[in-house]
Amino acid sequence: MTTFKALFNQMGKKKRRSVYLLALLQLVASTFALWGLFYNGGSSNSDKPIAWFVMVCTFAPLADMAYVVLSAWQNEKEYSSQTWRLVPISSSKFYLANISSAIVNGLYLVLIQIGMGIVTFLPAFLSKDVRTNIWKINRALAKETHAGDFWQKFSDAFPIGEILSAFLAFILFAILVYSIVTLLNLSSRTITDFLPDKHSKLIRFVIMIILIFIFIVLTNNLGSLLNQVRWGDTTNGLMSFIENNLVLAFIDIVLGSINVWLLKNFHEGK
Amino acid sequence: MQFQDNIPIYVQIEKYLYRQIALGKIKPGEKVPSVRQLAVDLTVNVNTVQRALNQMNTEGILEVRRGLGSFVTTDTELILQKRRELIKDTMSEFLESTAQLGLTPEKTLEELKKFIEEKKGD
Amino acid sequence: MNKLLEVKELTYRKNLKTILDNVNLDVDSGKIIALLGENGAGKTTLMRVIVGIAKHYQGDVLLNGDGSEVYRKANIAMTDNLKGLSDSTKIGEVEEFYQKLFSDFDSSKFEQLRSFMKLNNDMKLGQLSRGMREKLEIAVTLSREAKLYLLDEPFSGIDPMARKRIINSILLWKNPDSTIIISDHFVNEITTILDEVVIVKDKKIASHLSADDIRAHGKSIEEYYETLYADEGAE
Repeated sequence: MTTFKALFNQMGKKKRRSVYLLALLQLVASTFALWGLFYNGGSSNSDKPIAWFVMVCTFAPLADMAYVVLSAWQNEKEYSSQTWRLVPISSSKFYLANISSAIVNGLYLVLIQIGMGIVTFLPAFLSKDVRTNIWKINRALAKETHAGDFWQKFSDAFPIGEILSAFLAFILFAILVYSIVTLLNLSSRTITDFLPDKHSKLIRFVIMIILIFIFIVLTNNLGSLLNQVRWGDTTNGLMSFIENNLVLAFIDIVLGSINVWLLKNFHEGK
Repeated sequence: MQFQDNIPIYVQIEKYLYRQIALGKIKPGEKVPSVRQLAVDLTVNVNTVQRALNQMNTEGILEVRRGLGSFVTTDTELILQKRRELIKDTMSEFLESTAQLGLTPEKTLEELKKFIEEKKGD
Repeated sequence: MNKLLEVKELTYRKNLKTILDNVNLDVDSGKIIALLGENGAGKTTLMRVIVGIAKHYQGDVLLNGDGSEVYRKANIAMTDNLKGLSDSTKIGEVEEFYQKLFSDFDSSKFEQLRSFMKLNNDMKLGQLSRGMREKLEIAVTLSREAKLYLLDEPFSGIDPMARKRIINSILLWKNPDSTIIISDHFVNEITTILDEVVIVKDKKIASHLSADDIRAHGKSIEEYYETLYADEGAE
């Protein structure tokens, strides 16, 4: 039997290639944009030192979105591929390895982007304006925060609970996106397998539309239902985060179970 | 070697080995190539070779020694007998073919003699 | 002879069509078996059900008495078109893929088979001709130490000379206890290496005989196969 780790690594390989490609594209695109900006003389002198950094930041969300699309597509290809489905591993591990490899590599892309951000920010320190501004912000922050001990200051500047919750929410949301794409793919294919194979592409398209429609109606109803039964004080940032995360985790688990069930019993690799 | 499609392969392997032994290519007491080697040489299945060897073992022409392989019997009388059988087989096959051409055995003999004389003349 | 594979009352439908109808098949270990049948007779589907890729069938498929899908996938090596790997994948990477994901994959065996098939580690999947690709598929499949090998029309794009060499390599490398099932839609140079012949016709197994039993009746396997299908035409 194949281990989860081995499958995770192999599934991650291709996605890692997309990560490198997208990071490179982001860097090249932002550098080109920077060059265009300077060439047209469209920036004032004071903006120049941070222009590169700004460009890198502008292109980051585009690269991230492209990664989600690419990795989701790779996931679906693997579910439908005989080459991958021949691997002796349970459907649940197969599913988890695919989703987790997509997310881990997505985080890797974010990490690379932070790295690029730091590096492209370095020229900014050459400018006296930026240096003094940073110093001013620092001073202002120091005054505003508590005069208490170091730990107090630290936790005010970095509310660990909330940061962790936000991070978790982000991960759970990513899982949700991948799960929905997979659910649409697997269920539409399973339904077409039970219908005549004439016009199967058209039928699949129609089924996909219907499923998306059902899904939207369902989420709306579920959302309003959840709003009615909300518990606790939602004004507290941390509490609402935890609450939302619980809801997200629940949906992820439900969708995941359906997907694993479809993989195990119906969906075939070709 | 080429096999005939409509005769069991193991029978053909037996014949092939008998011929090898009768022609002295494998000598009395000598080891026959391993099952696997024979299978690869003849492009046949190991099980088929095994079946042929087992058959020859029961007939006594081969002696299977466990773990060592198969050896040709040292009983030269038995080998001679097999050789005679082989000659008979060849003859009857030959006569069958000539019969299909409409020759009686006597006529065949006549034609054969003529043929041999002509060959000598070449 | 141990019973290796049991297929019991297998029925498989897809797109409202019956593809396999109440199929029963018993296979012993240590055999080389041909699975013959016209295109579309259901040979590929039967193999896909046996290995655990095709789902939602009725009946049982047991390997050594075990019906679990993971167990079957772990112990059956089936040829695959490698379409799950991109065209830019090098043969060396294909090897790594199998070596990492299949614990019974033997890299040294693959190296032997690879050089025997005249394939180079730096070649990319997209560059391979049909014949070369089939050779790679065979090499990858035979490099596993499986109990059962399913070769689905493995030779269609390979020239007769190379076929002979590959068949020889199968004889040379085959573990005596493992069974190989080779499917094809016509009878070719594999006949001499066969133990048994299974013929699929009309969604069912029409015949399952020992190869030498067919020949003992004075018929070549090709003749037998053709008469079996000719009966169909007469009906």
